[in-house]
Amino acid sequence: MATLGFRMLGLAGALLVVGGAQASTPPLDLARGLYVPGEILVRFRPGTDSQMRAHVVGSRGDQVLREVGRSGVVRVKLAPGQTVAAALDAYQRDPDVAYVQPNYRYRAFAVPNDPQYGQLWGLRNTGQSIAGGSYASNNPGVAGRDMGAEAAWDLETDCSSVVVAVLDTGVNYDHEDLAPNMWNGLPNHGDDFIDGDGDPMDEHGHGTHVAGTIGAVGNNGIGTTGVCWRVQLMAVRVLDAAGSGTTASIAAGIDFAVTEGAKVINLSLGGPSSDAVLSSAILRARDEGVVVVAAAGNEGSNNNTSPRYPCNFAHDNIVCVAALDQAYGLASFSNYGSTTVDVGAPGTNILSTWSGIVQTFVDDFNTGGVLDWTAAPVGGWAYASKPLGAPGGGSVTMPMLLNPSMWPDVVYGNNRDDRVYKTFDLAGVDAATVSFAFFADTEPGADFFRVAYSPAGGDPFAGGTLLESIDGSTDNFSDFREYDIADCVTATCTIGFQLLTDSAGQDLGVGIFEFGINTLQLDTARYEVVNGTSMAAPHVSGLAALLFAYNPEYGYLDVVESIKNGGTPVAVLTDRTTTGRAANAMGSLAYIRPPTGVVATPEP
Amino acid sequence: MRVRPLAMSVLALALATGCAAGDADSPEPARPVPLTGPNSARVSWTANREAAVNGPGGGYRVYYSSTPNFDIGSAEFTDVPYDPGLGAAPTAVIVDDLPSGTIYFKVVAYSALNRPGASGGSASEPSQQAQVMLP
Repeated sequence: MATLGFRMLGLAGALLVVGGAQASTPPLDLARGLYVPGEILVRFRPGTDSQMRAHVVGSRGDQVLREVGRSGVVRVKLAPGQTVAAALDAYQRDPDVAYVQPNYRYRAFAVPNDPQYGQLWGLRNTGQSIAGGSYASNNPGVAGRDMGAEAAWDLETDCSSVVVAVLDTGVNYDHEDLAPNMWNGLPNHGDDFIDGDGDPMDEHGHGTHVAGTIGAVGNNGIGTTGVCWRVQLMAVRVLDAAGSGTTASIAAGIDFAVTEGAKVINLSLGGPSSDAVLSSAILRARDEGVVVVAAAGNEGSNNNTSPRYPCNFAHDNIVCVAALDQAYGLASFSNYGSTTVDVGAPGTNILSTWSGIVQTFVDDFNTGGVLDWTAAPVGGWAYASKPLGAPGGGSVTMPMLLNPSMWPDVVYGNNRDDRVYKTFDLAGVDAATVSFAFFADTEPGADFFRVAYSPAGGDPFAGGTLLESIDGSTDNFSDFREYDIADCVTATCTIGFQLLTDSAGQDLGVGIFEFGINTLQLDTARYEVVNGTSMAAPHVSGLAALLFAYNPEYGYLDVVESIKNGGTPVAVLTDRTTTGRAANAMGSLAYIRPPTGVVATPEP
Repeated sequence: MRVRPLAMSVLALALATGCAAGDADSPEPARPVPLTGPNSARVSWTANREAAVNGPGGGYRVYYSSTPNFDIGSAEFTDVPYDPGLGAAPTAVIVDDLPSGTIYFKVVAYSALNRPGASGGSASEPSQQAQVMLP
């Protein structure tokens, strides 16, 4: 099986947003709305039987629709043209009638009481500024550029008949604003296809953010609100703490979700390869009537010419989603594609639940200009501050770890085994990753740049865990790596690099920069504002669940067609998506597919 | 024109001519086109799965014309509204007083739900055209 790389499609996070914490959960507010036209409720006096009731009603040309419970109340459909007011008056005068009233409509207030609801511009855009948002453009945006959630909530807030699988970095299923909405089909609310330990706890945060956009508990006085106020969120961990997964993990996750009854699968992830195994897993989902919502990707590129999967698969159960900013411009990072990307949805400065407290420890390899990592042998790896070309021109000076020491002006030596490592205290955290950027140029298949770690300290290339062995050239561009080192959360976590060369062939070597260790301390009350098509997709997954919930007869294609055709036209999406539309909850609920199977025959 | 809805309660029958779809998506009320004759046709279709079509304020509108590929904006129609007794909108209707020759039908489904910025309920695109030859 191919082990293709998939990455989540959120962008690096911004500032933490302090979570709301109101203690009590008020009861659902009920608002008295209008009454049902042409109908009244009549309570007859004790002793009238149903025959007598039907006679009283029928004698006026009205009709008993049904008896309401055992209360002696009947619901009456008035004769055409009869007003409710006139009927109330007339029935009240009947000696057999105890009392009479309109058949009032009740509905939940469509505005939830969650304290951070006002920051969720994607659900209701008032032109508010999003605090802690790292996406500067169009913050604030334009009032009304949103998913139309409140209008839809007049009809439906409860998707609890629908299981939505979040295939991602996991979900913090203990989160204060998610726990009541977690699927309860198995222990731990899902499964884990990374560690295989059955526990899909989110060691990153991304999946928890996605889950909150779909279904953070609404109107509970806590935190944020999902597109669905109530839903069954299935946590399926297919990406590791660094946000990476494989064909094998994702395909297994899809099969699990389908088998366990998910009707919607959110895939806020992607990769560049048309992957037959992933494709067939999504087809199996389609055969079970499952809608798959995919993120378009964050390269700012055209998926028509630079395909991203699963977005680009042509399967009719996939909805591929681009990211819109707060003014419904296309987000600068969002991929698009006139034949490959379907709709846009809010994807910048999105506030949602997070799995814990994230801390990043940056290491610049030096103390006072002297290498402070252990080099073995001394003189192999070196520290220097180097000017690097900056995106958009100019240069920046960057502290770097180098081999050879004169990088990039000379070639490295033959028969080298140069190691460099440093020990970090990661005790007490729940998960960690290590990340860095680098240039590499080594003889393909012969000389290697290697990365390793050891939870026990010391040289990680002697008894530690090898993370990757890299060869070849990054061709004057820097590359980036992030590795899950969840089993290195000790007081003596050593990270190391190695240049291992053979007896012939010499290239320019390795330069490493922007080294950091990212830790996560699980926490059930964290919220973050982040950007990405990963954040756009779950808005649509929530809508898919809402459509399934409101329309119990709906199949997957009904849901997909309603999402695509019920959206709001947005100019910037016209040539960049198949529909030219932004997903709109009310528009999709009101969308009706054309009738089919029309047959006309002569009637004798 | 007389219309005989199928499988409808007395109540729904009484309402059948009073319910209209119509918003930006739906056609203008039709100008009656003379279409009188001794013939009747039964038109049926597959039930829509939208809850709002099969709920209060929802239903179908059946357009007909002797012109193929006609524009529903200028065609005669009959409404087949949601039937509370049935708990759904009926999926067949008998249209009477049709002339001889080929008659074409298109069906639109409608609901009481409003698309963003619209009022008066939503309507589907017309179905594909069905036809019947009447003697």
